[in-house]
Parts: sequence; structure tokens; C-alpha cells
Amino acid sequence: MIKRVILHIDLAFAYLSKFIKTRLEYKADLLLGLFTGVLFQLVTLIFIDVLFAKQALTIGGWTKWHVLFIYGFSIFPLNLFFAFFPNLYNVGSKYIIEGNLDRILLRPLNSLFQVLMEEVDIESLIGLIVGAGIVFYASAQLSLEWTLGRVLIFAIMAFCGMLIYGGVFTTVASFSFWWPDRIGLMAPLFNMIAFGKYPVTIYNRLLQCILMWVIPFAFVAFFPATYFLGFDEFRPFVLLIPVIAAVTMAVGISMWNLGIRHYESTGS
Amino acid sequence: MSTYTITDDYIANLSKYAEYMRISFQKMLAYRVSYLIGVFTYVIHVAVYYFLYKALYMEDVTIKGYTLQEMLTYVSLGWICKSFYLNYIDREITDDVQSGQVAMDLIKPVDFQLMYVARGLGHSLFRIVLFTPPIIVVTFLLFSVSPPVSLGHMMLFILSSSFSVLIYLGINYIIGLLSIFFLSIRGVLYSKNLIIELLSGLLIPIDWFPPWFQSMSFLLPFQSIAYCPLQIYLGRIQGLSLFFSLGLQLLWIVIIFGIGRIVWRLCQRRILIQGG
Repeated sequence: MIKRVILHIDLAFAYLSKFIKTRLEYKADLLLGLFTGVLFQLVTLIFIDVLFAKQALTIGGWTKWHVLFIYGFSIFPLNLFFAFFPNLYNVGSKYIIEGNLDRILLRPLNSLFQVLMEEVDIESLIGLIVGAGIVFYASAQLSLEWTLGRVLIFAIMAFCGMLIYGGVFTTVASFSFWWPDRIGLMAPLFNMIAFGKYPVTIYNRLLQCILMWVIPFAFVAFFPATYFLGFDEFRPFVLLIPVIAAVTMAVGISMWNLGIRHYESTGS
Repeated sequence: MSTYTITDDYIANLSKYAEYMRISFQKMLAYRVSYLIGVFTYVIHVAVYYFLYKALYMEDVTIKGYTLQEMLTYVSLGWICKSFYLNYIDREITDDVQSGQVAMDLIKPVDFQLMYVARGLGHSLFRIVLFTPPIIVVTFLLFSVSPPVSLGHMMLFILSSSFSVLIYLGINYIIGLLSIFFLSIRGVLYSKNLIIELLSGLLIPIDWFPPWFQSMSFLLPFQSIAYCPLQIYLGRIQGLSLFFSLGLQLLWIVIIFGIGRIVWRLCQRRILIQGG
């Protein structure tokens, strides 16, 4: 078991170095990717900046700096997810309809691991630098104290957030095993990520409920951010973050495994 | 059937582009589930900004000269417009370039730009007939949207938003052509959407921005996509400046299609160099 885990970690690094090498081959593409990656983060930053037209404005009691902090945090889990899970989008088309899954299943490695590692979007990681800048700036405005412990908690929570996205989208991608021609559900879920960029308290009850217990995007950025912003009334939810991450990922993996068992090759 | 004359030839010439439009329309029709989910997707888009603006207007009656009701109408109408000016010809061009289909298109006696414009219009036609109406119904039911200020404004809004279709189409065509120069522009396509959302004034009206930004966006085509028709709908531009805005939209259509032709000419050279 442990040997198998170590083998997978070794291979993950091999895959990663392969990706970095291929990306460096096409420098113009890489630069374009990095440039648009930064631009992508700036859009919401500018939007928030313009939205707070007057200094005194708040959205439901959250000041501009709170909102910026939450957004800055949300960049971390989202871009980690973009970097390491982009292939989930291709499960239906490339792997099931085109039959690439057969190749995957022949190897003595975890199938989900292989699918995920076959495409890594390292350019997305540039977003983390922008995110760090926003978090740093907002913290300075709010005079938040950073200690090594807090940085560590920040990293763990960002990782948990990535797992929540990963779990949700692995679940949806697994539906392709039953309905390979439909990636339809991915798009609206993808758009729902936008809800998680802002304080969840501004939404109505129904939406809050969905974002907490059905598609738990509230735990990706908003609840983690409240911990650093010092809003202690959300503490119970903050403590739940790792649990939600573990459960969401477990659901994703179980659905994937069920799907693999259900899978019949397209081949003749 | 009938004797072949020059006029027939001209009509045949036009109808081949109509055919591209028809095929594009039918392709969209094939994906019915995606269609229903697509309607839902727009509701999500509007909901995010609906709640954001509602929370922002908690204490103030007007911000930057907009009432909450105007803002909610602005946002809802903005996404309704997007539901029909949106097209994916940028992605289609990228796919055609990567699969090599573009070589087949090059030997056909059709104008490359007009072919994709026809396809894009097919998308928009499909959307306006089948996709936008349910979005309008759901949006008006769920979110508070005001009716247009007058019938005249409504007509001009429709005219202005059809110009938006062409502007968006022209921009998308140019972006799609970038795939001939770069290996993968998936990230560009994704970011482009978001950047246009901001610069077109879909997310937030242009007059909320700082003055320098407003003058910059005056020199860019994007505000003609969303901000212009929405201002007309809300009755915020009147008289002469209204016709000035429409004229500006027309000017942008001409410029963007002109740039599209130039870029295509550069691309052809590039394709020849790649050869094979």
C-alpha cells in the first residue's frame, strides 16, 4: 500500500517535470498563457474596486477590504484546482467516447490519478502570485497580523478548498460514465464558483443552504477567510472545512470508482 | 430548373452563406439538454450580481446616479443581451485550425470571414429564437426588472443590441484567428470572455469607472457591446447623443471587420509558410 502511494508520488513529479519541459518548448504560448492568467485575476479585482464607489459603502456589512481579502483567498483554491484538475472536463469526450480510458485501465496505476495527471495546467499557478498580492494588500489595510502558523493554516485551507472543487467536479465528471455525451452540468456548476468569491451572507436562505450543504462552495473561500478576518461567529464552520473537503473528495472518488465499474469500452 | 442568369448567380452566392447559417442553427438544435442547462446558467449569472447590488444598496438610494431598480434592470438586461450576442466562432476557428479542417475551407470558393460571420449569425439566430425568450421570462419572474422607458427606446434598444451581435462577432473572429499564430489559446478564450464582460460594462456600468478609464473605454469597441444598448434601454441617453452612440457602434462594426480582413491576410501568409 505504502509502496503504491510512493510510486504514485514519484510519478506525479515525473508528469510535472514533463509538463514544465513541454511548456518551455513553446515560449510564446507560455507567455500568452501567463499574461492572460494575470489579466483574468485582475478583472474581478477591478470590478470590486469600482463596485465600492464610495469609501463608506459595504455589501451587507462587509467592507471593500474584507471583500478583497475573500476574493484574494479564493484565487488560491481556484487556481490550484485549475492547475491540477483541468482534465476532468475531457472525461466524457476524450476518455470515454474516444476510448482513451482503455489505455488508462491497462496500466497498474490508479485511473483517476492518471486522468488527472495527463493534463496539468501549470500556467494557472501564476494566479497565486496575484492572489498573494491581493491578500497582502487587503491585510495591510485591515492591519492583520501574519504569523508562520497562520500562513500554514492558510495553505492547508487553500488545499482543502482545492479538494472541495476537485471532489464536486470529479463527481460531475463521473456522470459521464452513464451519459458520456453530456458535459452540460459542468458549465452551470462552473459558474456557481462565482458565488463563492463573495460573502455568502449576502445571498438568500435557499442559496446559502445550497452553497453550504449541497455544493459546498461556501467552505472554499468565504469561511476560511472569516478565520483570518477575525469573525469568530463563523468558527464552527471554519472547523468543518477539512471535514467537508474530505467528504466531498470521498464522494467524488466513490462516484468515479462506481463509474469505472459501470464502464464498458466503446471498442468493438 | 430555370435559366441561369447573373442575378441567380448572385443569389446562389448569398445563399451559400445562408446555408452556413442554417447548418449552424441546426447544430445548436441538436444539443437539447445543454440548452436547458444553458438557461439555468444565465439565471446563476444574474443571481450573483443581483445579490451583490442588492447588498450594496442597503443604505443608499442612488449610487453614481443609478437607483437600485435601475442597477438590477441593467444587470438582468445585460445578461439577456449576452444570451444572444454570444457565439463560439472563436472556438470553432481554433478547432478547425487544430484539426486541419481550415485547409478544406481554404479551397472552397467562399470568403473565410463571411463564412464564419454566417455561422456566428446562425448561433445568434438560434439563441434569439429559442434561447433568449425563456431567459427573459425567468429573469423577469425571479429578479426585479423594469420595462423599457418607452416604445421608441425599446426599438432603438433592439437596433443597438443587434449591432452588438455584429461587434461581438467581429471581435470573436479576430480572436479565433490568433490560434493560427499560437499553439493553444484555450486560456485566451477563457480570459477573453471575462475581460469583455468587464470592459463592455456588463458587470458594472462604464460611468462607475474612474474618468481616465471612461475615456480609454471610449476609444475601445467593447462598451458598444453592452453599455450602449443598456443605456438606451434605461433611457439614460437621449436625443443627439443617442444617435451618436448608434453611429459609434456602426463605425466600430466597420473598423472591426476591416481589421478582421487584414489579420486574415496575415494569417494566409502564415498558413502558406507552415505549408504541407
